[in-house]
Amino acid sequence: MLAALLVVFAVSTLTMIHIQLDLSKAHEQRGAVDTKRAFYVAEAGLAEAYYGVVTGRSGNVGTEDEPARFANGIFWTTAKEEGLGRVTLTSTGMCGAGRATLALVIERTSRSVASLGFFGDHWLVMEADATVDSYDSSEGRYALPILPVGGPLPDGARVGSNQDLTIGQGCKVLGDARPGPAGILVRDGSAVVAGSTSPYELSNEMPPIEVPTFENLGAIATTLLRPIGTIAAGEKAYDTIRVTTGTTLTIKGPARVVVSDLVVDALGQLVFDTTNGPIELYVTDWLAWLPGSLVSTSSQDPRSVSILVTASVVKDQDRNGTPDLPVILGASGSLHGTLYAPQAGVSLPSTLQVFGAVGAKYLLVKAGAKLHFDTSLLEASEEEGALPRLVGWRLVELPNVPVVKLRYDALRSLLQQGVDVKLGSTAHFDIGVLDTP
Amino acid sequence: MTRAPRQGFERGFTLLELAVALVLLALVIGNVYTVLGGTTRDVGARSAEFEAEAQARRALDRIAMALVGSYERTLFEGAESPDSRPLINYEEFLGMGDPDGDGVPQEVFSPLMRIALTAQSGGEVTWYESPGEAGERRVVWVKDVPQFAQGEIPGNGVDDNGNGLVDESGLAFVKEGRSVRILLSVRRSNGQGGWIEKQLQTVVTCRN
Repeated sequence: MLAALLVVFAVSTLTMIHIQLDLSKAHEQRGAVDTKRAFYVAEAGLAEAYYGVVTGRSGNVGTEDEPARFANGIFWTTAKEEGLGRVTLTSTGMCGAGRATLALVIERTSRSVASLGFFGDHWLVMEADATVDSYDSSEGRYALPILPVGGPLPDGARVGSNQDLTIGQGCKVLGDARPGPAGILVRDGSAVVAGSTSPYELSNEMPPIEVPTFENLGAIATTLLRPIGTIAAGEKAYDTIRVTTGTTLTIKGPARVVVSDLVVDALGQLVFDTTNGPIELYVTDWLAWLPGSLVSTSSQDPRSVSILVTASVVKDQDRNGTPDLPVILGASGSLHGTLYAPQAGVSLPSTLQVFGAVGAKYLLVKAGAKLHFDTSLLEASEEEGALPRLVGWRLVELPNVPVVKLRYDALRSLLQQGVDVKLGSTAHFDIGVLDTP
Repeated sequence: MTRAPRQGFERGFTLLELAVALVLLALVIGNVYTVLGGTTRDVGARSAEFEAEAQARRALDRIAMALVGSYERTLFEGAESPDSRPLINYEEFLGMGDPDGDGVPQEVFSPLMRIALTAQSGGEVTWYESPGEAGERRVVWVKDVPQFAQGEIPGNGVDDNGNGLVDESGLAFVKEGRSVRILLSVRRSNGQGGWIEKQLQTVVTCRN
């Protein structure tokens, strides 16, 4: 009897040990599975936040106090602006006993030619003492950059070419100066380039311009009898627009204007008034801002004025027996905008300060010219619809918050408390404002 | 006063009965011992197998987590199938920082890191930071990794275990486009003169 009892006791003990061992194995396996699930929930959070950024939201989804739900896990994602269009998205996912935090840095990049800065498709030459610097119009007006003695120079400007790049004596490029994949950079010993000089890995596309078709209103010209002229907002086409000496022509936005020849004579003034909206100006045959003319813009935003030139032929436009270049920029003043002439050479004089970007087939920056690249052009506009570029992805440490330290399934706990845990798609919010369905 | 001798049915066991009972008891105890012994051995063997697989799984997950955040372009020393490599170098993305102090955030990268199979202590998978440099750091992630994978006959140039690789080592990295296939073998004694061998594999796609 006693022996039987002892045998039963021993077998029972072994059985309990066996069960306990199996339970601990199952617990360890479940923990490993939960960790992987939490990892994928965190990745789902990053995907949701990325989608938010693409659709114009901030990238914040849920909070540690009100997380969002994905499958049988929860997550929340925070977005942090890093500057220059970059955002860091940090997502914490929890599933069962598993926890994971991932971070993703994305860059809202523009694919436009304007994001290349001052760019010459075939070549770009900077003559002596020309300078190119940068500023951000979204943060205010342009201010002269402060150059620290002995410290790193500002390097936001962009100068480039799909082929060769030449930087002359005494030039300053406070940013990148990059030749094309097979191009070379020729730089005078006294020239300063603060940024990268490495060649582009691939040629940058110079897309053709699609000129819209509007009702043609013929030729217009300002005269001394009517020295102040205005092209009202709207979509119009002209054969010729001429601003004669001593007169002023204002183009009022929002406007899309197509013109064959746009000529501003010496002492004539062309004004781009973008108070009420942007201006797109298409010039198909001859753009001539003759020396002594004056150009100005009302807005500091370079996206408010876009000058797109399809002219490409050198011919005697004014019938004086001398062939004329398709683009002549001899004006004085300041242009806050972008100029794109993929089929023509452009020469930027020292009298015209450009705040924005210029892209051309050939680009010559004349001696003493001052150009200012607007870094806000690096960010994609809503119209461009460019997807943010992935900069980097990494695992990060878990945040030191109470919900992460819970030893049990957080989603189950929240549901038992009667909390309505929102799905990720309805948990987006901008800073300070929670999204309400 | 003496007791009257007992009358009736109570009597002792005979020698024969005792002998039979002892034999039966011995048989029962023997069977129980056999069952208990077998069970104990079985539990031990299963525990050892589970430990080996758990150890391999933990190490494989650790390697995978290290590579998932690396830059695909930095993964050299990883060969395309059918050749494999017992080591892999990689760099990780560490986030945005301002290393040059100019106030402009930039991408920050880790120093060069390496995961390799060494021959020390019967085979170890070791992680290195800045390998070969003055500030080199190393951590052993898993031991009992054989020099050649389970089922492979070393040096014969044949895929002996039919997994598509030739003469792969106990830790093998095979680059497959943007992904890396990681094979890890663990071989440890089962305490009874035999061996427990486990081979696991996983595929990791670099996120950068």
